[in-house]
Amino acid sequence: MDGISTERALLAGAISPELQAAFRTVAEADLGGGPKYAASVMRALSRTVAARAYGKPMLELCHLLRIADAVGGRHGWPALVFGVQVARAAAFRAQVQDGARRRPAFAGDFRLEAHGVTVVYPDGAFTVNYGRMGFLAALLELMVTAVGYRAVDGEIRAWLEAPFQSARAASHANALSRLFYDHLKDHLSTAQSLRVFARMIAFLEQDRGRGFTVDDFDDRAVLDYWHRSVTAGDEESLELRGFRVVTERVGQLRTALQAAFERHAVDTALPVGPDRAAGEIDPGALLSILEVQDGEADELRSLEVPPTASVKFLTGREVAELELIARLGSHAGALALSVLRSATFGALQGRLSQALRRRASAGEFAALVDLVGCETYGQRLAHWRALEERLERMALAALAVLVEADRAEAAMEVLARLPTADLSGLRARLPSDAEGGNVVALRPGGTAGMVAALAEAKVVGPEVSTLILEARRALRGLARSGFAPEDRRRAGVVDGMAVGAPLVRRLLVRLDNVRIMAESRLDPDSFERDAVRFREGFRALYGELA
Amino acid sequence: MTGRWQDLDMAGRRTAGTVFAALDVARELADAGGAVSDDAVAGAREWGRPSISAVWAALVGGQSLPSDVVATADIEALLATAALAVIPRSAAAASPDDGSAREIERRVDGVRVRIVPSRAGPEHRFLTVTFQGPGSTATRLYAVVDGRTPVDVALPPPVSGSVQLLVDTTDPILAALTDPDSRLYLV
Repeated sequence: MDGISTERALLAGAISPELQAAFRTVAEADLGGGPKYAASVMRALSRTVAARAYGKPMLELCHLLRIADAVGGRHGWPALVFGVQVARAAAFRAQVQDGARRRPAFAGDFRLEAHGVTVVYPDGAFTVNYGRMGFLAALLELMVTAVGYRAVDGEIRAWLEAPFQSARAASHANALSRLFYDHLKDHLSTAQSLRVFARMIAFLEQDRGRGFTVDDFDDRAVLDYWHRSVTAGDEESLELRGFRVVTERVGQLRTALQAAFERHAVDTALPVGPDRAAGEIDPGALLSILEVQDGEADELRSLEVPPTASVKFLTGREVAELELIARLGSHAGALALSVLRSATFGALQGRLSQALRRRASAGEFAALVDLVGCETYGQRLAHWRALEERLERMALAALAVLVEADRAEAAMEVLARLPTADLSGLRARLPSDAEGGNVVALRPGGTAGMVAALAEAKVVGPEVSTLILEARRALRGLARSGFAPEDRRRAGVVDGMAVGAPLVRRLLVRLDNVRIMAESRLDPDSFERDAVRFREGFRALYGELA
Repeated sequence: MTGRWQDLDMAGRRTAGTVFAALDVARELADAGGAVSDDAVAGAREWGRPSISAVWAALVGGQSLPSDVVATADIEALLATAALAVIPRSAAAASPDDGSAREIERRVDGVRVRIVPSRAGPEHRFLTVTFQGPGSTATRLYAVVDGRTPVDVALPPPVSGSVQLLVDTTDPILAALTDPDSRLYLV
């Protein structure tokens, strides 16, 4: 019997190895300037593909291809879409503007705007924003990687050779969508996911009755479902073996049920809409649900990409510790005890999986199954408190850097921490041309000397000035990259602080919330009681190896 | 709405299943493309191949194709998009069976590729590329045979519309150029 690796392999059945490889190929595209596509773009792409909501993007893509073909010269559309080294708005802008300069005919059918390019068709105009081009290029690169260049280029050529009319874009976008859909239907299967869904629902119906609600998918349900699955003794029940994986799926289930109940309320109030009897859900609505769910996990991921990546807010280990909380998003509090169990017993299960992979000795298995070396709840909670202190120090130190750099975001951070603070005293520090208004302009970029006054009690009051003093103390001696005096002189680092400070603060709130919720559900015997159940589960899963 | 499962009709239940499955797929795809490392991702990595952007960058940058690129219809279509000139497969054998050092020529409108004997010795040939259009040039010559790794050679700037290279007879480019099934792309 094997462990999580088999579970992953089973779950990976939802996506063919070919599609996974295609996705990874696009994600790892690197033309020498770092990843071509930002992680956020790849996540948006994964959501769009999962929701099959590529109809509208294909329409945008058609118009982008008109632009790319016009600026691409002899090489045509690939010159822009494939040729941009890093798929950011600035790079697309530069390449489009360069191409437009070289080709005087460009101005006849296209118009350069501040934020994008407008294709001026005889029957209407369509603007593609530079900020959107990275996502559209990633979508096209995924299509080409998955479906093949010839097939995709064939559809694109048909569009580019069609009469120059906006109204024709829809049918060509549909053709591209169909091409992609036909490929994906053989490479994306929801059967496995739906099986897990049905099994979890059946479990709760049996355990809590048919009148259960979203709130019944709680910590007890997670542990009971996992324990029953791994001790049932049949392969089918073992589809989910890892406690952490079960926790994540229960979080997903809560989101899915909430969405279904919300839609049920809306749909029954409206006489028209998608075919409800068939359980249809509009891809756009599905995409919105995925975006909300994913957005809650974005705080952690955003720390790993520019501009925040220029500051070492979190170590790799700290990111890993916060990963599950971020993934669970708004459900992390409801499943706080499951997060704690994942961090202790779940981590031990991870070690069992590793031991399985490297064919560890029976003695090592026996020790692990017997929970030797398993962190206790008390130890983990103490660890979380220490992590909270480090997060608080990072957020405060970032605030100090923003004050030092005279960035207005410092005032926003102060207000986020002290919502009742009165910063009107800063108005006196505004330059003369800004005087006379009755508001303090908190626009990014700062106003010379104004932000430094946040440290002056007579200007902003003692509460704010004390906070700034604390922030400066936090900054002193902080050794992480980005916080050293020479680092702080770099504009990119200060930009990273401006974006990262609120993210770290919100992560701290999430962790704090989970810890407090978990502590509130524990009693002195919780760990020992849980240990009995996890030991039983591990024995059922790995006992024969011990 | 009570928020109770029993009050959700079949359509609502199917919606819940659809959302759950979409969340599952999105998470898996994000893991495959993101920084999260797990066994499934490790498996996908083993199928790793260069991105189409990397292949394109190599083509238009006058570089060799990434080493793990095998000629496929897609790669050829991409080569054709990037190429200044494409010379299709020959109607007849381009290479004499007797291994003699006879001259071989492949041509298309505007470009002529020749392999001619060298006085430097039997182990060498001259590869000459002649551009007939004014100012036309290419930085690399690719030879593609189905299912094989494309072979290529960098071309120096032409002198009076012509490029000449001394090539060892064991050079794979020579074998590819003399193969009647090969297609030539001047990029």
